[in-house]
Amino acid sequence: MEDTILDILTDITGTDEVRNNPDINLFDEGLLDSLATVQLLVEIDGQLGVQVPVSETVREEWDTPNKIIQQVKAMM
Amino acid sequence: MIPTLTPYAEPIYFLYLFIALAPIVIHFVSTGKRWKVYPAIVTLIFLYISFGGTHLHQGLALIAYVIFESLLTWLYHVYRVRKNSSWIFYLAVLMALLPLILVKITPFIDGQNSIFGFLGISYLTFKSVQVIMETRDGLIKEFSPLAYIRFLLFFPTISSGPIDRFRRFEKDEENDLEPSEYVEMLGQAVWKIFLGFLYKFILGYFFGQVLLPQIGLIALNKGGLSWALVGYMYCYSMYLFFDFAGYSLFAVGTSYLLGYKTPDNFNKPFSAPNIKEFWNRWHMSLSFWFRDFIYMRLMFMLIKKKVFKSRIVASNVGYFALFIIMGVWHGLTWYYIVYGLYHATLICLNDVWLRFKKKHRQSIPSNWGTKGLATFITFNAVCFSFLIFSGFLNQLFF
Amino acid sequence: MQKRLWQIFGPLIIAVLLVAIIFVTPFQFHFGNLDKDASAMSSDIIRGDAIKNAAMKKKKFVPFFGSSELNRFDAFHPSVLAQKYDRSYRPFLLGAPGTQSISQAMMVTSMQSAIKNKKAVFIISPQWFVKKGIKPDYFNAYFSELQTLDWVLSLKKISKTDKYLANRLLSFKAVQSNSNLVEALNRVAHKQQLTKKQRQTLSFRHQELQREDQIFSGLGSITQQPKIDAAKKDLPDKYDMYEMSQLAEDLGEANTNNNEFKIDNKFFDKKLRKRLPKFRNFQHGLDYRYSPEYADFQVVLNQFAKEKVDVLFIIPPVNQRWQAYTGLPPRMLRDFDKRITYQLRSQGFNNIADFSDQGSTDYFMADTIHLGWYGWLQADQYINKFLSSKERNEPTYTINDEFLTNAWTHGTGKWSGLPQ
Repeated sequence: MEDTILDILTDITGTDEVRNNPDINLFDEGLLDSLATVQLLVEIDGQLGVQVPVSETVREEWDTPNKIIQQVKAMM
Repeated sequence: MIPTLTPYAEPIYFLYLFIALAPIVIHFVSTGKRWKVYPAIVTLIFLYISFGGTHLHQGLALIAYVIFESLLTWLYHVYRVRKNSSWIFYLAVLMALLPLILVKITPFIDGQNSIFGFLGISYLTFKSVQVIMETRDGLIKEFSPLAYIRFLLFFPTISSGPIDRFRRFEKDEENDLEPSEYVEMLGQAVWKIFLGFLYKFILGYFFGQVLLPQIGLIALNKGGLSWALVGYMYCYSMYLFFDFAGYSLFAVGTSYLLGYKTPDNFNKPFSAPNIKEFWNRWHMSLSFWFRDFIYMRLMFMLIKKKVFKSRIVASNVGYFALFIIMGVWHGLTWYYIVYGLYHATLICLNDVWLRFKKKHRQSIPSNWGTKGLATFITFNAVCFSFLIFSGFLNQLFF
Repeated sequence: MQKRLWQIFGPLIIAVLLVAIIFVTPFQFHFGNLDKDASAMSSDIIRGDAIKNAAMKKKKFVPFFGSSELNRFDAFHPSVLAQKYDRSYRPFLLGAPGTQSISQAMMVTSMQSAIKNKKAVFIISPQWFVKKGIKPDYFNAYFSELQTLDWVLSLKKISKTDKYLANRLLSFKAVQSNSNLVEALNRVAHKQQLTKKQRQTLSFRHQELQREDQIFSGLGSITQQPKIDAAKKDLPDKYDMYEMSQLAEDLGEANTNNNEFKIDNKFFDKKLRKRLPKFRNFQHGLDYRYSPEYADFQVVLNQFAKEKVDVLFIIPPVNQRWQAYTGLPPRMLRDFDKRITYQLRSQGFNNIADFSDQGSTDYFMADTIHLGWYGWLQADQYINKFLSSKERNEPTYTINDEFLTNAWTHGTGKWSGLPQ
C-alpha cells in the first residue's frame, strides 16, 4: 500500500523526491496544490478503494508523504 | 437603556466589550478553566446590542434563521446516520442556502430588502453549509444542537467572519487551557486588537474617509481614464485592506480573549508573488472555504467521472465556477461578477505560467529581482481587480 | 506569569493614561508654523480653531476671507506683494473653493476675542448669491462641529442673529446627523439657554474636538509658500505703479493668448476648451439678486460689528467677455451690486473696493470669475493703503436685523424693488 501511494505521488508531483525524502513538505515545496490533492484522492480511491473525504485534507495533517500514508492507513 | 451598535464600529463598543470580557479574562488567567454560562450571557447581550433596539427586525430574522438551520442540520444528521443518498445531500445544501438566496434576490424582484436579511447572513450560511457537507463525509459524527448554535452565534465573528470550522471550534470548546497558554493568547489578543485600531481607525479611515472621496471627486470631474482614477485604484485597495484586515483583527482578538483560536484572515497579502499565493493570504477563511467546499469537491467529481479529458481544462472550469460563485455571493451586480471572472482568468493564466516555468526550470532566472517583479505585477493586478470591485467604474461610466 | 501580564498590559495602561492627560488638561497649544500656514488654506485650518486663532492673536497677520480666488498665486496676489515689499502685515488666507458666507460666519464667530479690534479683508463673490444659496455639498465640506460648539457654548444672550444661525444650520444634513447638536440648536432657535446636562455633554465633546484640532490640524496642511516664492521673482525690486501696471499687462497677455476670452491659458485648456459650445448662454437664467446668501452674509457682518473689526470689502467683477458668451445678464449683475453695497453701506460698512464695473478691463481677471494680475494690482491700491497705515478707524456699525429676513433675501414687502 505504501508503495502504491508513493507511486501515485511520484506520478502526480513528477519527481522522485517523495521517495527519497518522505518527510518533505509537499505544499511548501510547491509539489502539491489543491488540484493535485484532488487527483491524489481520486487515485487512492481508484487504486486502493479507500475513500478519503475531501474535507479530511486539512493541510497540516496531509503535508508530507509519511503523513499521507498514515492518514490513509487510518481510513482503511 | 442598551444602545444599538454595529460590532467594532465605535470606540464605545470596545469599552462594553472589555467590561463584559474582563471576568472571563481574569478567570482564565487564574484557572485556565472555561466557563459555560457567563459567556453565553455575554453572547446574548452582545447579540442584543447589534441585533436589538432599532435593528430588532434583523434580530428576529436571525432567530428564525438559526432555528431553521438547526432543524435542517439536525434532520440531515438523523438521515445521514442511516442512509447516504446524494440527492438528499444536494437538497439539504440547497435548503441551507435558501435563506441567503432569498435575501440576495428579493431586492431585484420587489425592490425592497428581504425581511429575512440580517447583518452577517452570508457568513452564517458558510458555517451552516460546511456542517452539512462534513456530516455527509462522516466527519461530524455527533450532532449537538447547542454546540451547533454556539458555533453559529459566536458573536465576535458574527457580522463578517473570519469563517471558522465547526470541528476546530468544538475542539477549542472541549479543552481547558493552561493559564500560561492563555496568557500568551491574551498577549496576542491585545496586540491584534491594537493593530486593528491602527488598521481600521487610522489607516483605513485615512484612505477611505479622507483621501478616497477627494480622489474620487477629481476622477469623476476628469471623467474617463485619468491619473486620478489610477490613484483611486490604489487608495481604494489600501482602504479595503486596512478596513477589513482591521475588522478581522478585532474579531480574532476578541475570540482569543474568549479562549477560541479563530483563524486569521490576512497574512501580508500584498507580498504575494503570484495570484494563487495572494488568495492564500487574502481573506483566507473565505478563500479556504471556497477551496475546500467548492473547488476541491467539484474537481473531485469532474476528475473521478472523467468529465473532461484534460485535467487542465477541468481545473480551469473549477476556477471559473469558484470565482463566479464568489462574485455572485458579493452581490448581483455586473462589477462583482466581472471581478470574479477577472480573478478566474488571472488564476488560469497563472497556472499556464507555472506549468511553463516547471518545464523550463533551468532557463528561467530566479532571484530577488524576478521575485520583486512578480510581487509588483501581482500587486497591481490585484489592485485593478479591487477597482472593478469598488463599483467606481459603474459611477464613472454609467 | 505576572511579568508577562505586565508586558501585555503595561504599554496599554501607559497609553490610556497619556491619552487621558492630553484630553483633560487645559493647556492650549498648536503645531505648525504660522508663516507657512498663512497660505495653506487647508480644510483643517478653515474648520479648526487652534491655528487660525493663534494667527489672529499676532498683530502682523490680517485675515483675508474669501474663496477660490485666494489660491491663485500670481505676482500680484496680496500674499506675494506683502512679502516681496516686506510690508508690516501678512495676509492669513481663510478661504477655499466652496467656502461661502455661512462658513466664513462660523470662522469669524469661532475666532471670538482673537479678532477683536483687528483689521480684515473680505472678498465677496457674486457667484455665492445664487437662488438656493450655498450648495449642501459645499456646506458639508467645511462644516465644523468644533466651531459650532464654540459659538453655542459662548452664547450668553441669544440674539436674532443667533436664532437665525441656529435655524440655518439645522437645515443642513451634516448637522442633522448629529443628534446632540440638533437638540442644542433647537433650543437656541427657540431662544432658550442650554440645559445644564446639555452644556456638560457638549463641553466634553468640545474639549475632545479642541484637542483633536490642536494635535492634527497642523499635520495635514500644505503651505503654498513655494508658489509665492516663485511668483515673487516676477516682481521688480521697487514698487513703482507705472512699472507694475506694465508688468501686469505683460504677464496677463503672455498667459491668456490662446483664447478669445483673455482667460488664463491653462485654465482654459483644462476646464473650458473641450466643452466650449456647451457653455454658450448657459448662465442665461442665473440670478444673484435674491438669495438666502444675503442673510448668511449678514451673520458675518453682525460678528464683525460685535468684535469691532475694521473691514475692507472687495467686490470682484465677472470677466466681461465670458459673461457675454455665457449669457449672464449684465443688468442682473448691476442690481446685485446695488443690493450688496446697500446692505454694507446702510450698516456703516463703508470701506468697499467695488470693482463690479471692471469686467471688461484687460487682465483684470485671471479667468472667468477670479481676480488676476491687473485686478490684484488694483485691489492692492486699497489693501496696502488700508493695512499699511498705522491709523485705525474706530468702526461705527449699526446692525439692522431686517437683513436676516425673507423680505430682504427674497426682495419682497418693504424690500421689493431695488434699494435707492
